[in-house]
Parts: sequence; structure tokens; C-alpha cells
Amino acid sequence: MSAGLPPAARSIQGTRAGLISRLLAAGIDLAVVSLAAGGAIVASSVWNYFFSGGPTLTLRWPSQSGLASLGGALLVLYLAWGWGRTGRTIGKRVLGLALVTVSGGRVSWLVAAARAILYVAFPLGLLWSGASRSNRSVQDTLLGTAVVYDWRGARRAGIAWHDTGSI
Amino acid sequence: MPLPALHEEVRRALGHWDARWRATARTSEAASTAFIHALVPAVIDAVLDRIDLTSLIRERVDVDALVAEIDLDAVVATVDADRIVERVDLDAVAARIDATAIAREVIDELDLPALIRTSSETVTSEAVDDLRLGAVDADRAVARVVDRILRRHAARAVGGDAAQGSTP
Repeated sequence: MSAGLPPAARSIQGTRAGLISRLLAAGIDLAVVSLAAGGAIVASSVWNYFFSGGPTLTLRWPSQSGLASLGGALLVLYLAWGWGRTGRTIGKRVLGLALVTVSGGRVSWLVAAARAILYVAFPLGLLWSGASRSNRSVQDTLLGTAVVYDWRGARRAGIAWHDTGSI
Repeated sequence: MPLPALHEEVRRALGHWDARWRATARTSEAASTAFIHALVPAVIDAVLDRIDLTSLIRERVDVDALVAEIDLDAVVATVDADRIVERVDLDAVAARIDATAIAREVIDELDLPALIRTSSETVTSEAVDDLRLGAVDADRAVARVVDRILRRHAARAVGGDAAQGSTP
């Protein structure tokens, strides 16, 4: 599907995305989850102030391990939700990417959840997509997934798109 | 009857009629004038009622020619607009204008929110497209560098710039 696409972007739809696009998308996702985690901490502090009767409003930052657990859990939930639902998290949406199976199909919720856990456990696995001949990260290789350029969400909408046969 | 006597008789009769006519003429004239005053408007009204003046003028009068002959500039030049404006109570006029309703109507007509949404969507869409194209270029550059470092001869199909050899 190439309607409304800049000419330079038409031929790349459906082809494997490269490292930089994926890193940028991951960065945006990380920022989104960090904001959400920060918001959750602020909200819990305000809640405590109003309902536990503290004298002043103080931010109750969790311990380092608590923060890592909260962030990790949020990140897993967020990534699994985005990938399982549409194959696109906010970061992927901004960069025009979509997660698909190697055959170009929709990723199941189970695979999405497993991929999310693997990414949070070993984020450096993403860097392998820069070296891999098939542009796939360690997690992609383990779970049979791939990330493709999909600027207009054609994959999600089930629209026949420009098929380069590279999926 | 001798002729002078007859002449005298006729003259007396004429004098008598003339005096009578002079006596009644004034009242007769007043009555006839009143009669005409009452009759003429009624007659004109009745005639006008039966005539469709608008269509008559449309058929018989060349209004365009008449208008063309009027020097409107000259007419306008005789109008002292300043004096007219001075006599207008602008405050009273302004007080009668519901500016809020007019503004709301104009905004509704323009559909400003949609206008802002559309233009900002276009700007956002262009900015996102630029970001994505930049990222795709960077993807290709990174792939080329890595392939060169790893001494690969067949280039990868990052961003579709090489043969489609990226199947796993």
C-alpha cells in the first residue's frame, strides 16, 4: 500500500528495517515507559500524601532494585501489548515499523510476550540486527520474527502491500 | 315692436342671465372642483389597480439605458458621507450587534478546529516522514559499513536498496 507515501519510501515498504530505525524506535519506547514509571511514582506519592496523612508531599522513589523491577515489568507489559495487538509500539509507530513473523504474518500474543521478556532481559540482542544478514536481532532469530518498514500500518490493516519478497 | 325696443328687451334679458350666472358660478365651481378632487384619485387608483406597473416598466422601459445615463459618480460626489456618518449613532448600532454570536457563526463556518487539525496533521506527517527517511538512510549506511567490515560481498536489502537477499 503506497497511497500517500513519499516516492522514496514506496519501495521499502515491507522490507526489513535496519538498526538505526529500530534503535530509535526502542529509544522512544524506553522514554514512554520511563515517563509512565515516573508518572506512577508521582501518582503513588500524591496518593500517599492525601490518604496516609503525611505532613508534606514528598516523592517516594523506590529502591534501585524496586525501580528496575517496576520499569522492567512496565516495559514487558507495554512491549507485549503493542506487539501482540498490532505489531507496533509507539516507537515503532513513529518510525513506521511493524513486527511480523518471518513469513510476514501477525505475531501471536505468546510470541509477543516472550519477545518482550527477552528484550528486557537482554536488550543488547537488538544490536545483532545491525550485523545479521537478515537484519534480525537475537530475539527475532530465537522467536522467528522480523521488523519491517510499514509506514502506513498496512500489515495491521491486512492490506496487500508492496511485497518485495524479503520477509 | 320697434327695433330699438326689442334691442333693449334682449339686452335686459342677457343682463339678467349674466347676473344669475355670476351669482351661481362661484358655488358651481366649488362643487365641481370638489367633485373632481374626489373622483380623480378614485379613478387613478382603479386604473393603477388594473395595471401591472412592474411588468409594464419591464416591457416598455429600457431601465439599463436609463441607468447608463446616470452619472453615479456625480451623484455620489454630492453626498457628504462624513455628515451622514456623524448623524449615525454608532454606539447604538454596535449595541445591537451580537458580536459573540457572529464570531461563533464565523468560527463554525470556517471550522477552525478542523483547519488547525488538518494543517498540523500535514506538518506532523511531513516531519515524521522526514524522520523516517533519515532513519532509513542511516540504516542503509550502517548496513553498508558493517557489511564492509565483515567483508560481505552480497549487500543486504536494508531499505530495499539491494537485491532481496534478506530471508533468514
